[in-house]
Amino acid sequence: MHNIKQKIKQNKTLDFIFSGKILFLLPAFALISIFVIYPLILAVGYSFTDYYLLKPNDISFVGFDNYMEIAYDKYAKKAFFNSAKYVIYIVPLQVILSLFLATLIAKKSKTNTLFRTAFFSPYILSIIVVSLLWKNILDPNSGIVNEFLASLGFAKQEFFSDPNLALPTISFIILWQGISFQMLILMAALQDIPSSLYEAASMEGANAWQKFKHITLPSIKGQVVFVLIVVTTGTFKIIIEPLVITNGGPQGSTSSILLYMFEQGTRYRQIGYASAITVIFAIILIMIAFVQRKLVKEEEG
Amino acid sequence: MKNIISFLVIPLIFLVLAACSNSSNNASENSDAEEDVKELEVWVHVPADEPEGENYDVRAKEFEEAHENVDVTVEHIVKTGGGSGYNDRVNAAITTRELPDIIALESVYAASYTDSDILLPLNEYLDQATLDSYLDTIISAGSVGDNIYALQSFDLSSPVYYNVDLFEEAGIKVPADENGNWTLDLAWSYEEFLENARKLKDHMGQEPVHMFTENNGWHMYAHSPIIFSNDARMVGENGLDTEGYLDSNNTMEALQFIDSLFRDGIVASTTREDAFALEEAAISFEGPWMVDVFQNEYPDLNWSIMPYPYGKDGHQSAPHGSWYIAATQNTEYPELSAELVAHLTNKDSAIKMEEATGLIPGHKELLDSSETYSDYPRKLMLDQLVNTNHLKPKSPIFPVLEDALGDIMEGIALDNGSLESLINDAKEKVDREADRFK
Repeated sequence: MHNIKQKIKQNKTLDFIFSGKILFLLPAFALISIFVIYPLILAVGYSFTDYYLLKPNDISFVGFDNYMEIAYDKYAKKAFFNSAKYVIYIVPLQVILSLFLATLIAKKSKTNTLFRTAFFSPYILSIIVVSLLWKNILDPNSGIVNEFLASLGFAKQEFFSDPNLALPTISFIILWQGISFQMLILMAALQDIPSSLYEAASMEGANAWQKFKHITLPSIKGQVVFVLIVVTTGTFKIIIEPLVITNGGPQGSTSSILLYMFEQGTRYRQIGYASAITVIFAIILIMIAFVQRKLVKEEEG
Repeated sequence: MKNIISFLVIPLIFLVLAACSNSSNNASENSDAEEDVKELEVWVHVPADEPEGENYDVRAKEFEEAHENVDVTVEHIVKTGGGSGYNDRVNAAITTRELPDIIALESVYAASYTDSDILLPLNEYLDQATLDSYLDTIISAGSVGDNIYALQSFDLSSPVYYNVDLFEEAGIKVPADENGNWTLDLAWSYEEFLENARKLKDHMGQEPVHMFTENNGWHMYAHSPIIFSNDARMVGENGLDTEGYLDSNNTMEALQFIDSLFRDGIVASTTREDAFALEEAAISFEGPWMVDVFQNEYPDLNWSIMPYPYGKDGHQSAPHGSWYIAATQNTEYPELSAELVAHLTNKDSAIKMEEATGLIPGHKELLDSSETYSDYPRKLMLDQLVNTNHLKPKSPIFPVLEDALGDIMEGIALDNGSLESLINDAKEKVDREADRFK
């Protein structure tokens, strides 16, 4: 029986290949090859060289030197650590709050349409615009938040100049903008849950929390996992907000690993070293996604 | 199967047609070409509708008219923050070996570009009289070793602004020569600066001196002269060694002076935008472009210009530097390219740029006739440019040095560690990068 199934599967694959349908995948494959696979192979290759941007004709193989250097580079370590901090600050809050908001506005009504539009509007703004907007709002001298604090008799806060405040403040901005997209995904999932399940639970005397725990959460688990993976990898890839708002400062307190890699590659022109950081970064992201999926699958099993 | 054939054949037909069309075009172009036209390409960082961009277009046209069979194309690649948009394009062209004949570059990057054999030594193609016309400052900024690689028709020097009214109210007597001008030789030493700043603080009840404290290139441009004026350097002659320079006693003394500005409440630890314009600061280290802003937007502000404070006699230093023009080794016509660099930065350019933007003319001959810089206080900016030291390091790792100095200055402003530890961190950062070049 197993052999028959396998043969049917093989025949289907061969049919797919010879029917010509596979050719329709070629454009997508070509694009992925040019913009993802080829750069990835190049990055891995360059990571074993001393490629300096201004000397493209003078590239030498240096083995694992770049990787060894990362191990001793305290600025790289700080950037990795900062990226982890961003993840810790943003991921749990973004997932929980987006689920909370989605639950609030999942029911179809005119008021909810208004709220959905309001909640989603930050997402359609450019990240640079949002960054500059918050930079002005939180400006220590003339920002409205500090003016408000001062009017209440509180001391003005150096949101972006204080090394202890800068990273949490940027995390808040990222959270504020990103939450709406995750909310939309979870809201769509919530709307797909059959209302009969809730009706049956009500008849059985289940309270709101029990309904959420035993109906809502299991029904949208797949989407929650998707959101979790997307938010985690997305948060690790933060670069624009710290670049625009603080340029990684003060004292490197908001620099992310991607920002550090960008700085090494473009400003210091060390393509080889930046490539090594990229490779390590890619491995970390793949591992995180793999572990998250594995954990969820185990739980499902 | 039919699907596969049509999928493959149709694009093939298009490719063949395109190839035929190209080859026929090329054939006709070749047959039409009567003479060999020398094409020169210039990349500049400013848009065509700004005075500088417009000036390059005008000079390029003049150059075409003066030379038969020469075609000059000026491409305006607008720089974004930190020059990145333009610099990214140049970096990409270096990687793909497609640099144009002439590029604009920040003068401080000349050393790293020459270290990578990207720039053409202009002195090998231009006569001495042409080169002698430029200000020594410009020749010095555009030179690496014995060769001159980049030129410009103008330059600028950042002043220190002071509020005349607040000085008077605080009882500070402004040093003046027989004509009543605060000239370069009457600059305040570190001690005098501190003493008077304390008087201002007592009078104003807040930080009397404004400095931008964010960690960016401004520290190297505007604040490094304060350090260098104490006979201090960041690196040695090779642009790489920090030992005995970044950690020297002179550097430490200069940084102690800056540290005391912050610790004594003379400078605020975070930037207060418009503090000087709003009379919340009596002294300000801001760019020369603020002259127009103060004049036009704050007509009641009674401002003037004072010389940069200095550490040790004979080592006075002041900011200068801008984007320069250089020819690349990629050019097929080195002599013509060098000539075009000289033309793009000639005296007419200097006159036009002074008229349009108030920049200091970069040719000696024009200094005496300069209307903008004939009288004090503006003349002080010209004096600074011509008569002070400009010791920004000429180093292939300049971006790292800029960041290292920024780290120190930001660390001082935020009181984030001792001076020794800040210097050691900066030294470590620079040394790590310098090792790649040794």
